[in-house]
Amino acid sequence: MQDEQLTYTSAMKELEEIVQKLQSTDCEIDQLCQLTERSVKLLAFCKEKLTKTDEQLVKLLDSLDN
Amino acid sequence: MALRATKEQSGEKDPLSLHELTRRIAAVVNTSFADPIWVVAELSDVRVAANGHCYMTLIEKEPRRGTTLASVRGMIWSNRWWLLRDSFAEQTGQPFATGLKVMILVQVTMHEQYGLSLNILDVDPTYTLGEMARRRMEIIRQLKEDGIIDMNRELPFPVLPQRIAIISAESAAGYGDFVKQLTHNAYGLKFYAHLFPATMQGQQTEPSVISALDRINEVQELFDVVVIIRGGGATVELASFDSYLLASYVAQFPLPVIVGIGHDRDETVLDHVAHTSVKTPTAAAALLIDTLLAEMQKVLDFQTEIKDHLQQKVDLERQRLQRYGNAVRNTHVMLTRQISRLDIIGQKVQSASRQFLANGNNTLETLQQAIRLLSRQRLQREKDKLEFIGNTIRLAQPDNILKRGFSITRLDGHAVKSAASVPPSSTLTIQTADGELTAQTK
Repeated sequence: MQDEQLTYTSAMKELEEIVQKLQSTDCEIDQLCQLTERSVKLLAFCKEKLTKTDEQLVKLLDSLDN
Repeated sequence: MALRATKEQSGEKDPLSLHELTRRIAAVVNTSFADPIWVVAELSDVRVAANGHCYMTLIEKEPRRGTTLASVRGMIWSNRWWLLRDSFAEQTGQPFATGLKVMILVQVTMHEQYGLSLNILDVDPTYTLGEMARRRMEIIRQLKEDGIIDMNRELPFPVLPQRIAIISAESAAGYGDFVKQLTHNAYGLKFYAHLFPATMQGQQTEPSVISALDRINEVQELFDVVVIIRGGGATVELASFDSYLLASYVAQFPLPVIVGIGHDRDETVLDHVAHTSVKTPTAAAALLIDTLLAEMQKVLDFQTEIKDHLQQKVDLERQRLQRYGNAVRNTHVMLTRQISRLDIIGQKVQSASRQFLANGNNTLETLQQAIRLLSRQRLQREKDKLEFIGNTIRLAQPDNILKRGFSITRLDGHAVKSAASVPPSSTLTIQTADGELTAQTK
């Protein structure tokens, strides 16, 4: 999945898929590195969505008062 | 009256003073309505004066058109007002306020100076409760009939309700609490709250809240949810939220609406049409925080789950490698042991072979010696035997026998073996070792 298309929902879906892959027995050891990197990126993205301020949105909402 | 008519007929006018008129009316009215009477009316323009008395207008409207059929001033004296106000609010969950329908025990009073008024002595709260419920039921029935009552409730609730359009009175304590609770949540969760101010009590509630909804609707793509909150007072007036028009706006609003208008006892029509209804603004904030917190928990669960799975996979691989390593090591040890065993066996074989060979050589040698010995013995024995035989043969030689003293007696050249075979007078030749003798038998 391309990052520019990433949304919270799609990131969570992808994380779920990664968990399923890791649970399955046919997950090759060679895939682990790639899956780890991707999951770290997705987890950071989701956490940011929940906790980091979107300055652009703040400005947009402030502009509603003017 | 008969006197007046006579005077009028005669062209004389004898007008009463206004005071006299009102005095006379008062006398009639106060006599006719000497006892208190229960009356049903709608409250309008309720206000408490500085002196503590409560004044209002009691009205009756025509049900369909809403035009006023009757209107009378009413009041509750301060000493009674304090008691009635609290007991009414306690039992109905509503303040004694404009817009409510009430059943009141009134003393009809016609005052010469102030005119007709109703002095309220008591209020029956059960009537108001019933009336409010009936009104709510009627609005709900209409919303159902219009097919819109569940529309907002059926909207999917956003996964991350972070962008919140708030409809509240700006100065309301409930609004302040709500924003504070959201923005200072202990988990660092991010919310974007924007206020769309509205009047949240009295008759202006309906148009004011609808206006705020209209403003939100224009920028709806900037928000995830709408929150309608109020609260902070001891008792709130809910009747203004029992509005068909307001309820139909909320029901059909394109964003999910959360209602937290601060009441414990009863529900308003808005509670029936809103996506989610909570008791207080604080509860609305808690709902939003909990929703995001649940998402954060999901993210953290994924993190833990992925970490655990990765750890398990790595551990499994490590164990597998260890198993392979152990297997190789075990094989090596086994091979070493086997080699040692083979070495020992080899040594044993070698030693046994040597021993065997040595033993074999010895045996052969022994055999050879034995054979040699036996051969010699045998030869000796044969030799001895031959010698014995030779000796025997030699001893048996007639010469040797003759030498030992024996002699051979011959008759006619033949050895005489029996005396009987020799006839008398035979000449016998006797041979000895060193010659022959001739003898004559007798």
